[in-house]
Formats: sequence, structure tokens, C-alpha cells
Amino acid sequence: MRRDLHFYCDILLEFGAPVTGHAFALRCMPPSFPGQEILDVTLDLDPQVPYARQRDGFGNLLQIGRVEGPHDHFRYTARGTARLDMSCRREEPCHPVFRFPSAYTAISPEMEDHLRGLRLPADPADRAWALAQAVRARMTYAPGETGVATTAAQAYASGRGVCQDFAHVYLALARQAGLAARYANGLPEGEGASHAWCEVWLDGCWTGIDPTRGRWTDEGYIRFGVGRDFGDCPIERGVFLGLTDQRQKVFMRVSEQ
Amino acid sequence: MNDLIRHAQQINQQLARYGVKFGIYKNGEFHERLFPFDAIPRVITAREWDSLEKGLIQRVNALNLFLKDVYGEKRIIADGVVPEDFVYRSPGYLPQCEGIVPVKGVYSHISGIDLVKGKDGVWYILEDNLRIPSGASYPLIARELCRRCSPDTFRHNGVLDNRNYGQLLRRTMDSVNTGGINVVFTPGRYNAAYFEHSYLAEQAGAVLAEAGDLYVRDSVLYYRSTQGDQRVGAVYRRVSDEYMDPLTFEASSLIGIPNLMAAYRAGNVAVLNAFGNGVADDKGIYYFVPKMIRYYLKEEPILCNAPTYLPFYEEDRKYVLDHMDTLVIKDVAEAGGYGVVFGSKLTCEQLSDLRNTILAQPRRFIAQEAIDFQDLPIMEGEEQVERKADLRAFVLSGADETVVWPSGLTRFSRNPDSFIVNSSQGGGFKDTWILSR
Repeated sequence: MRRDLHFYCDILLEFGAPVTGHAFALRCMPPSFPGQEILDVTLDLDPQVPYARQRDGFGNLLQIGRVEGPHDHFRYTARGTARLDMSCRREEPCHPVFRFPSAYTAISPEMEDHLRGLRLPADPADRAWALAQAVRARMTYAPGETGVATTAAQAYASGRGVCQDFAHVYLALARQAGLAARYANGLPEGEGASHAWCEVWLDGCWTGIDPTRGRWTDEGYIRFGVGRDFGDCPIERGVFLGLTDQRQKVFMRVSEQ
Repeated sequence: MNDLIRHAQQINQQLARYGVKFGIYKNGEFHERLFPFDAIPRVITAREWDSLEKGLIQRVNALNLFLKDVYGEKRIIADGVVPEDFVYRSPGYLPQCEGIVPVKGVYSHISGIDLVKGKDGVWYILEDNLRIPSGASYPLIARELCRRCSPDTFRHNGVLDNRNYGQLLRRTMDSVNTGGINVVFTPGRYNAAYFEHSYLAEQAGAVLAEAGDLYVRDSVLYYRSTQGDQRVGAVYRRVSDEYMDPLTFEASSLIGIPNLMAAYRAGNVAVLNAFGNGVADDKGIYYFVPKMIRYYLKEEPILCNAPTYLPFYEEDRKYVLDHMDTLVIKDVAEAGGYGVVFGSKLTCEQLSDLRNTILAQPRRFIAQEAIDFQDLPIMEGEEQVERKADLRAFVLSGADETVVWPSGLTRFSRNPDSFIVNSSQGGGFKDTWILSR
């Protein structure tokens, strides 16, 4: 079912004291691909500086730039319209790297044991689904207990985490179970924060599955980036000079026109 | 030659004065120590060199084609010559480099190829170093000092001049330079090879820069000079991939250049060597290099590998497990002489542990026949003794040609029983003479 969704993604970084030489790499503009057509998109930066657009090795759109002088905040606001239609998805080649473990998704012996005990269905789509239910059964959604550096094995061991952790645990299990799977992030329909989910390569198509919510994705998910794991496609990465703390305020909204 | 031996102490004093040092990390502490020089050179005849030179050029050309293929079309994997496990599980494979073709398609500009000469007179490749091979400065400066002590030695023996390394390096950098200055990028003075970085920068007429000296603006790399900011066209970096760009690789790196990858991706700067080369000098990939030469160049390899077995293949695994006590077992994830185990030196218990590890993770290891390599004479006090030695040849690949520096770093082990000659494991070095006849 075709849907046009308006998205608004506003992120403000506040520094306790002015910083300088701030280099940034953003992945906050969703790309177009079969199934997701970006009808219009704008990006505003504050302080206003020029930025270069590139694609990374995974095909994600990058916005790259530098704020040279002292500034006490950095704000980026992406907004636009995405036309989503699952029936437009096309077969795509799968990069083999999505079948191998990555930095965040190395499997632990406990996870291997768990996997062996699951008796997974032979059909890949059924297997992908069963794994999502297994992750949901094992993991409790618990904000604030894990961080950006938490690995799949750590999150699995604690049994708690946020969407990023659910996705990493899922990827570790899915790849070990013979599926090609990748990390995806972006904006789900509604208001709040960004979200992370997974895509599994089924019948030649990348198919979204959301282990946090235990469901396949649909025309309510706008995808920003993909990668082996979180480390490949963070929405924002930056380095700057300055001894200070940093606070982040995030507001995102996705709604029908 | 005796003239040189007489001057050995003086030469070593000079090396110390110039700060020709080698740094080692041991137990988390950094120790700098002198790299002892032995005055008896390794001598390679013109005929022998001719075949080495051809073989090294062939090998490095094939490795460059492999890198271009792996980060592009991946034909060699599709054609079943190299199993994908050895590519995608390699820590040196960087998917961030997918689809990026470096300036003029050159990946490994400065390659350090390690060889040993067997007692049978055959040269064997020990390993390829395609990331940031170090060591060219040592024979370069040692030769300079030897010439000063005994100029006649070099006049009478027909030794090829090796003082052109700086020019070769410069020519290589110039050939891929995108318009701007040449820079040698060093992690700083606490690096094991800092002496070399500064020396090579001087020899190649390039600017020596550290992290704070370089920045990227509008996808272009700039150097902050006293005369204002200058565009950089080529950067010979002596920092590992993972620390080069905190916005692409290891986020905590303070010794990198934020968004260097953006300049590189846009083709605005040549990076020597390219990112992601580690996939081609992985110990596991080593096994496949002769196959690469046949595959890409349709030629027979001129230089041979040491006989190598991959436990990954069932047939090889069986052989390795049956002959563990005579083989050299290497962990493919380790470098610098670490993770190398001689089966003959292990106790029964250690052998059985290793056997289990190999069975559990066959992809992690390679096994090689221990090559009985030729000893070279060194001076131990007043006495001449024989020690194991290897040779690191430096191969430079620019946009148009691949050349071998007519010299090299000969390293020897101090310990008479050790086969491991890596500088990080102790030991010293010699000059390497390539004769004109």
C-alpha cells in the first residue's frame, strides 16, 4: 500500500563550553531506493556551514562538513517527504559481508547454545520470524542500561537493552543461523526518537524485520542507513576540540501528510 | 669489507647519534632501543637480483590487482579461486572501502616483501606487508655511514647505489598526487618508527605532519603551514587504517584526521598505502598469492611461497594435524612475529591444546614447513658467528610502474636458536648489497 509520509528529524547537541574544529559526518537524510522514494528533503545546519554529500561503502547518504570557529551548539534538522511502497521492492544483490559476524555482532557461546536449543524452521522467512520472536522473548526493553558501545553478546548476557541492542542480538543469531542480515536505522511512524531494526535477505530482497517490536516492517518505517551493525551507520558522528560535556536533544516525527 | 668491520663500532655510534632507534611495546611500556648494525653486508649478485626483482614486481602487481578486485568486482571470489571466508573474515578487510577506487587504481604503493633464502639456494616469500611496512630508512642511513667510513669499499665492489630511495618515494607520491603538497603523516614521536618517518620525509622532500597539522574542509585535505593552509595531494601515512579517521573507523582515535575518508572517497587526495590493504597481506591470504598471479597475470609465479597448508581445507587439515611437531603454525590474526609457534618446541600438552584450537577454528591458522634457511655471518665481538636472517625488499608502485629498490633490510636474530627475525623481537640489521655484476 503506497503511503506518503512527512518526516521531521531535529537533533540538537549542546556543549557546556564553546568547542572548535568540529568535524561531523551525518547520515540523517534518507536515500531513495525501490520501496522508498524521497519526494523532497532539506537539511538545515546551525551553525550554518556548507556540507558535502557522499555515499559510504554501504550506499548510505553522508553529509560531511566542519564547523571551524567556537560554537556552543550544533543542530541539524532534516525534513521531507517519503513515498513508501513495499510492493515496489526489487531484488538486490547481497553483499557477502552481511553473512559474517561484525564488531558488535560476534556471537557468544551462550548465544550459540540458545540457538541450538531453538529448533528453527527450515524456511528462511519462517526462520527470520522465529528468531525475532526468540529475541523478544529473551530481551526486556530497558532504556538507559546499555550504551552505544554495548555488543550483542553483552546485551544478550544482561537480557536488557534498547532497539539497537535488540537488533545486534538478532543479527548475531541470524547470521549464525545462516541468514544474511543487516542493521537498519531510521524513523518509524510516530513521535520520539530514532529507531533501529534489521533487514534479512529473503528471496533476493532485503526485508525489514523489527526485533524490538517482534514484527515485519511496513510502510511506516523510513530508512536512513544500513550496515553490518550500528558502527557502520550512526546518524551522527563528530569530533571537536574542547574540554566539555555534551548534551543531546532529539525530536523526531513521522506522520501522514 | 674488513674496513667496514673495523668501523662497525663507529657506525653504530653514529646511528645512535642520529637517533636510529626502534621502539618496542612490552608489558604496556614503551621502550626505545638502538637497532644494532652488523657491518658484514648481505651480498646479492646481479643475476640473483634480476630474478628477485622480476618476481617481486610480479607479486606486487598481482596483489594490487587483487585489492582492486576485492573492493570492486570480486571476480576472484566468484570464480572460486579465493574462498570468501578468507576475505570477509579478515580483520584487514574494510567494507567502508567498498566501491572506492584510489587515485590511479593503486592500492599498495610501498610494499615490504619479506623473503628468506633456503639452504637450497631458493628464495622463499615469508610474508607480504602492504599496510605500513617500515624499515627502509635503516639500510639507507647505514649505507650512508658506511660510505663515509670506507668509500673505496663501494667503489671497488660494484655495489648498486641505494641512495635513491627518497627519489623513488617522491616519484611514487608525485605519480598519484592530485594537486598539492606531499605529506608524510606520523602518529608522533612515541611511535616505534618515528625516526624513519622524519628521515623519509626529509629524503622525499615531503612535509612531516602529525594529527593536528592536517584537516579536511570541503572534502579536501589541508596542511596548516606557517604560510597559511596548503592543499595536500598525497599523504604517505604511517598510521594504521583503524586510527586514520575517527569518523569512519575507530571513533576514539586522537591521532587521525577527521573526515579524511571524505577527501579520499572524492578522489581529492591520494593515500599511500590505500585503506583496506590488510585483506591482501593477511597470513591466510598469503596461501593464495601464487594463485592470484596465475589468475590475474596469466603467468607462473617467479618466486615461491614457503610450502603452506590451510587447515581450512580438509586435506591440509589432516596433514597439519599429523605433522604438527615439524610445522610452523601461525595465527593469521597476529603480526610482528607474535602468534608464530614452532611445533617442534611445544610440549605434548601444548601440542594437544593447539590441535584442539585448530580443530575448533581452522580458518584462524596456517601451517608452514620450517624452511632451513641460510645463515649469514655476523660479528659477535671479535668472533664471526652464523645467524638466521631474512630480507625485506621494498617495492614501489606508482601510477605507471612498479620498481624494486636495489637494496633492502636484512634483519638477523641475536639468539642463535631463534628463527624469528622481526625487529620487534630483538635482533639487528645489515646492509644489503646488490651487485652490478
